[in-house]
Amino acid sequence: MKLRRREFIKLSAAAVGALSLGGGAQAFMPNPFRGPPGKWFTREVSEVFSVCENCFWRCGVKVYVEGGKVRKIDGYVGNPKSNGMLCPRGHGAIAQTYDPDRLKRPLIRAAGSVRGEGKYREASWDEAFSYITEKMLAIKERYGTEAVAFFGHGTGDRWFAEFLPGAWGSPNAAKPSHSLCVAPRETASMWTFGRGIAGHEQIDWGNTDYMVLLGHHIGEDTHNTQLQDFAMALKRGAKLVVVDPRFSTAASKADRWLPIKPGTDTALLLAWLHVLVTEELYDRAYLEKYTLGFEELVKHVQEFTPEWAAAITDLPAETIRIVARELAAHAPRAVLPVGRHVVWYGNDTQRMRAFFLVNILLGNYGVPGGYYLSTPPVLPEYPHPPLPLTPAAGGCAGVGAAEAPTGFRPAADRNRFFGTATAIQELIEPMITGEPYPLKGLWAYGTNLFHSIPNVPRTKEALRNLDLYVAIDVLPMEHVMWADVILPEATYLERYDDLIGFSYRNPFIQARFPAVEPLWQTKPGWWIARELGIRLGLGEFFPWDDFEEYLDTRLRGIGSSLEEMRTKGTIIQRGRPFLADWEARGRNPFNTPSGKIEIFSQTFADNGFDPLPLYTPPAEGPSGYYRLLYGRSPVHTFARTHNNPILMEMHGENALWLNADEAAQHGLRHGDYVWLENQDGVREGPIKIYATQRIRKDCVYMVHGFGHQAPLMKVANSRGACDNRLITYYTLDVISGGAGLRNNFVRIIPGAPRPRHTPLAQLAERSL
Amino acid sequence: MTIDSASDALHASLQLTAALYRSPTAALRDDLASGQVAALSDSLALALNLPAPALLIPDWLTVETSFVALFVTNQHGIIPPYVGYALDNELLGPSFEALTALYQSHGFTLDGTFNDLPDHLSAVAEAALLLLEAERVDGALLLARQFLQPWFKRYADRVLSADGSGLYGPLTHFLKLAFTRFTEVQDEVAA
Repeated sequence: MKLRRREFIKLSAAAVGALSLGGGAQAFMPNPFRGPPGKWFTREVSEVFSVCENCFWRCGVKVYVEGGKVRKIDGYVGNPKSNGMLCPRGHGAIAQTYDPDRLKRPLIRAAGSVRGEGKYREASWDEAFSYITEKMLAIKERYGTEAVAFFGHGTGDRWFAEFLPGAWGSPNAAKPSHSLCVAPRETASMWTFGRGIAGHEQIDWGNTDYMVLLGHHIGEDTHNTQLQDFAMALKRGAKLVVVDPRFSTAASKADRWLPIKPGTDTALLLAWLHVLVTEELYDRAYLEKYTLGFEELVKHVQEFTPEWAAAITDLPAETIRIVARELAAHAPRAVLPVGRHVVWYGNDTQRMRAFFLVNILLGNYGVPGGYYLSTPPVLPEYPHPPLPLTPAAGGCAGVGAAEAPTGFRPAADRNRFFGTATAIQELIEPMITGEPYPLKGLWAYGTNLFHSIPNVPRTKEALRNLDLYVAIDVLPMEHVMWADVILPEATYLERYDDLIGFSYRNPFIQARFPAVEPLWQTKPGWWIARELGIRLGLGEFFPWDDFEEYLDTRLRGIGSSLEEMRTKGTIIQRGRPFLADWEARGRNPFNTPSGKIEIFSQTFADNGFDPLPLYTPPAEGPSGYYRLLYGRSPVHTFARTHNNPILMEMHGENALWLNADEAAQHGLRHGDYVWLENQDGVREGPIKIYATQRIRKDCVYMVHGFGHQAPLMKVANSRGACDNRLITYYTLDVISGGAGLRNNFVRIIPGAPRPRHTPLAQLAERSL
Repeated sequence: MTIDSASDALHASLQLTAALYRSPTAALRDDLASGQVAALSDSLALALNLPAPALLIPDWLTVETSFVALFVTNQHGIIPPYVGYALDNELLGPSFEALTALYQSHGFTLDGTFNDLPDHLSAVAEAALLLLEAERVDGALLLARQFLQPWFKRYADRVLSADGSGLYGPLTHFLKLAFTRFTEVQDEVAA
């Protein structure tokens, strides 16, 4: 009696050798510690250049492969993002590639099951593509191409939030890295300087003498070389002032900590402008040469005295005055470095405008010791027909397309705000209401919908309304297990990706080469996008033969090649970092309507916004509630890394920072567990109390990204609490489209049980 | 059908292993529908003097979704269908390397239609079947004892308690008993 066999394995008759019966499996095992003393390898080691995907700094890395397995990852000298060093996330990325919880093959939601139930069957790639294609074409037929939304985050988001929607014809493509992160600063920068900030904040740390961090998470977000530069500036003797309701890691290194009342930063900035203007502590020559609207600013800031700001910010007027004077004394080598996550209270573009205006009065923009002018690398596109739509997703790299699409309906979030890039959270409502038109399809690439987009219940309701929901990811995140089709992506160590170009002092291009073959049936994002594109009748936009040819063609456009890149990893071009460099070439860096730095924004005035920034008080919470603040862990990135046992061993649970006096009033001790309940009655936790004097009494703080409710992620699941589930409310910044997320409040409910977590190693049943 | 020898019994155990743990395809569906799986397991139980597994043959969607929940998405706890993981607590660890080295030295090749790790239960079972059919009984026993049996020892009870299909749980538990029986016999012979 025989069952039907699958002939995937062959035995060569000639090669049948003797098999030992003794010793168990151990008899065959090479001893990993058998190598020469001090070496971690026993066999030949190959080195492969890549780019880390474990945060959004994108360090250039060298991957060391032994016996077909990645053994080690490190930074390399010559790469401006790593400079030969790497953070724990970079080193620990190996554990993600070899994570048994990974998505392994395409899955299709079982017939008769509902979204969120998590019932799936395996499918071939062909079957999955056919399923998606059929649904996509049906949506197109009934609602138009615009009815499919595309969300993306990560290096591969170029394919899913830009290229594919551009080819398909949907303006509804968005990245959380824009409206849930940098939108206000990019919008403010564009309308002030005519230039974005982009993905590598352009601070000339090496020459600055005085730094003021305002809500900046440096040291806690571990942006590798930024942190290296910052540390070197401190070592060199640069002065540091940190403005933060919390005594952050950076504050612990500071000369002054200004524990500002949350939400009042604009008042502080206006007061600094007042001091600089009224005491004539500005760089007059710089202002005359490069700016427009200073006279209006002089009138505007007269009433914003330090005393006025002191009553709002809880900071002493004298301290406000002193810091302004110290800034001026060190100008132009004094700087307020721009941070990344700046969607706080809803008036964020105006706050960022005020922030930039202080820098402008110091005369530091485009000047050593202040902001250098980053330029993007020269890197031609692979030649393909123009996409029907110009991508408008924005992201850290800047703002989206400025022009409304021709022949297509405008994005479904239009008319809600002024900015040009799509706002991801504003695309949720149309999925529910069908207004201004229905969104019936959604692609989510690397975007954890439940950990990033505010108001999770609303997001779930939107998902229930869709005709098609496709998730592309590496891990079975909670939102992934709601999808109709799950497409497993290879980890970054297993794939090529498009070339990664960075605007920088000297712009550069870095490449990602696959170090090992993809495990299981996982595929790179670019492959998925192209295969789908071809099936959707968009093959003309994907004309390359294979991806190596694609990359090589792009590199040949700058006189290089894929082979050269394979040996170098990074190509650095020459930039024009300072105004003097531009002037030497007779060029103007300011792409504003006036061609100058616009202190007074006529464009804002014409569109009904304040042309000069004003302070708007943030919403106050109910009595007995604390404002919820959140931030970053140095060893985690967003909600992406919490299934990595190596990183979780370092930081396996978040805690709630609560002022020690407040904790005492609640009868809470350090380490007690509590529930949190927000202003809408949403309960979250348990979370451990971190009772400390390092935070003001009117707010609490927790690290973002913990508290997964993803049972298929065995390490991450249920560890810590999730801030985003408490963020049910946001205030839309009507200029940038950013979602002000810090207008949520929580009350503390003592008496939560201490979670009984199985030790990580035991739970995960994997080696640490 | 009767199973007359230890070699036949091992062959039957390996066939069941190879068929059961690979992604469900038409081959398994046909074998379930035709009663081949049930008949083979009954015969094997008889030959090894084991209680026959009380199999339910669920509808095909249940087979597919149960397989994914048990062995792909780890819905019921980690039950990776990889013999190396059962031995090492990690993917592509030393036991994986030992097994692939063994494959290499004995001329096994996996073709492109097998999109899984070489230490997957079904691959190891197929390799053992090929050895058995090439009259390399010792080799087949080696793979069964040193790679397959530890997996069943570690995970069979978990599959039994987690499975809702009525197929994977009982058969996995039964195969655990079968592979244990081979080990006992081997030990008796060696003694």
